[in-house]
Amino acid sequence: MVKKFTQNQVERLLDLVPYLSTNQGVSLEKIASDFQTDKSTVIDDLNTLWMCGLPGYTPLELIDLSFDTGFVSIRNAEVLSKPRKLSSLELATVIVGLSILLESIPSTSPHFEAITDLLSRLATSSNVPVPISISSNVNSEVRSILEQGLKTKHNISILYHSYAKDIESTREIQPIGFQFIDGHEYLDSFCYSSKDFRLFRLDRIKEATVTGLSKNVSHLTEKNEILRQFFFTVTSNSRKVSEIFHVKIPPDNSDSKEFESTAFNDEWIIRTFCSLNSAATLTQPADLRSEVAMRANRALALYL
Amino acid sequence: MTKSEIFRTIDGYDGSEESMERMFERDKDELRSLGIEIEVSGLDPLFEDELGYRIRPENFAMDAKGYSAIEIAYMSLGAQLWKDASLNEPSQRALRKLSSFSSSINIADIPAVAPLTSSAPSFLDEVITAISEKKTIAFSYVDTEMSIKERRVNVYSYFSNQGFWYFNGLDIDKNENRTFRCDRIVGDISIARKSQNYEIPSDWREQIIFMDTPSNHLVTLRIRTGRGAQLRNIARLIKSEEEHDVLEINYQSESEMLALILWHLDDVEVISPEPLKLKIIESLKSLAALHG
Repeated sequence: MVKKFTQNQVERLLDLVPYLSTNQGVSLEKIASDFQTDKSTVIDDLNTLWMCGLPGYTPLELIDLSFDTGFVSIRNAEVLSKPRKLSSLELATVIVGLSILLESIPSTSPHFEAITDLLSRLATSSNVPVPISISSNVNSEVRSILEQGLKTKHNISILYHSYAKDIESTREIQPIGFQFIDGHEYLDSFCYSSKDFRLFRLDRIKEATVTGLSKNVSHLTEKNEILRQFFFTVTSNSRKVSEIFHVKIPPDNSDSKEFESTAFNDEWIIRTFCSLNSAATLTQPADLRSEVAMRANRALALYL
Repeated sequence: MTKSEIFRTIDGYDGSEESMERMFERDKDELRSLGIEIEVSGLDPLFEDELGYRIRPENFAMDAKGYSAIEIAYMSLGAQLWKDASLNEPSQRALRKLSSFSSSINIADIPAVAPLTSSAPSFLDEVITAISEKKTIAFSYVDTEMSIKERRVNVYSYFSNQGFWYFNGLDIDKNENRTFRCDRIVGDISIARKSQNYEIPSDWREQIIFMDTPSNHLVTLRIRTGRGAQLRNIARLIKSEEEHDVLEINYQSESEMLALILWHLDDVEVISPEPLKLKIIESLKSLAALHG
């Protein structure tokens, strides 16, 4: 009776031999975690492998395994000991991954040139398409300094452009970690200038320099920013409006239907409605609404 | 090996000639999908009907000689970025194969985190497959007024910009090249079966670079000192006045430039061109009227 293999198991078995040849004496637990399966499946696979070999099928030609101690070694598997070729999709994970890495390390890094070269060789030797560009608008020098500060627990002085207020300021911060929110990277940190925890958007940090060693700052006081609720109507460009305010707008939207959203910052709300060029109208709260009209009139005065 | 040898020595091939043939074809397909290429050639030049099958090691195994230990480590690092992201499964298989190379080097000074992978669409693998096999894809896409339309596209390339993933190519129904933002696709994409269905224009990369050239319009602005960092980033300084600077910016999209100027309200004044200035005045008037 022939045992039926699933394709997954065949793949695992094929990859297991070169893996074991390189990692002689590896534990069953480690194999299970590297192959993302459980220990009993690994034992099952090893039992199957034991019965494999080249035609002839005498005991001399069978793959020899020992694993009764919980650690596995392999002999007699030279033919299958080379790792299998990466499939196109597997190679794609490498190629796109390397393209992303390239974007995030400074071009002065010793790795930059080596990865560029590797990437172009991988691309020419396969038909996997390389992304045309990967760009995040984050200054890679700034990024590498922030990472360095985080890793070595040093404070950093940053030149930050606060978007809504449109002001650049220098702040002394202690980096805590990176966050990724709605497609943007943020640095979670304690800001000594405002004596509180702050999120800084990475692409708005213009310069960074490492300063002194960090002290312990406990992350006890969770930020408690006040969300401002506002209401608006939409007349055109509804996809853009829906992406900015994170609201669902139906395709057959009427001008009079009101939508609701929230934001942390009044200034951001006012400027966003101005930049939307009347595609959306702020209806409430009344104070922000009249502020939009007032600011628009003030700007208009420049031309009159 | 000949087919009859295979049928004789390998367990499991039984039944009629026809059913063994079917099994053999199926097994060959399965091997191919595992990345193992089977070569067919005549064994004996005198007897053309007896075909031989063989697997060459170079068609099956990865050749490590072309890559140094540190390059294997870079490749692992690249694959690692996809942990728990859209290409998680193939990346784990890639890592497993890469870990079979004897030397393992740890590169400590490149952080193995990349938020970009977490924003990659779940169907990125299908986009990549479509491009490499030249297969047409179809999907539902949200247009600028939130209507959902079916699109059929011959994909030429893909990229990521400011946290979003895009692909572009020929929109078949519109017969124009278009760019699509992946998060505006509703549901999954479907791939046509037929491969090599189109050709990617050989000058596609140049075309894309040309599309990105931002320089066909010029605006001159008066910006308040210390303000307008977003504009200053892309501007050339013409002269500095007491409380203002005069700057010039080349731009491509008028609607984006209008939005950027409006965002800055009375910190930015358009000096020229006249049509853009009139549009800003118009916009400010309507903003004031709508919110009055």
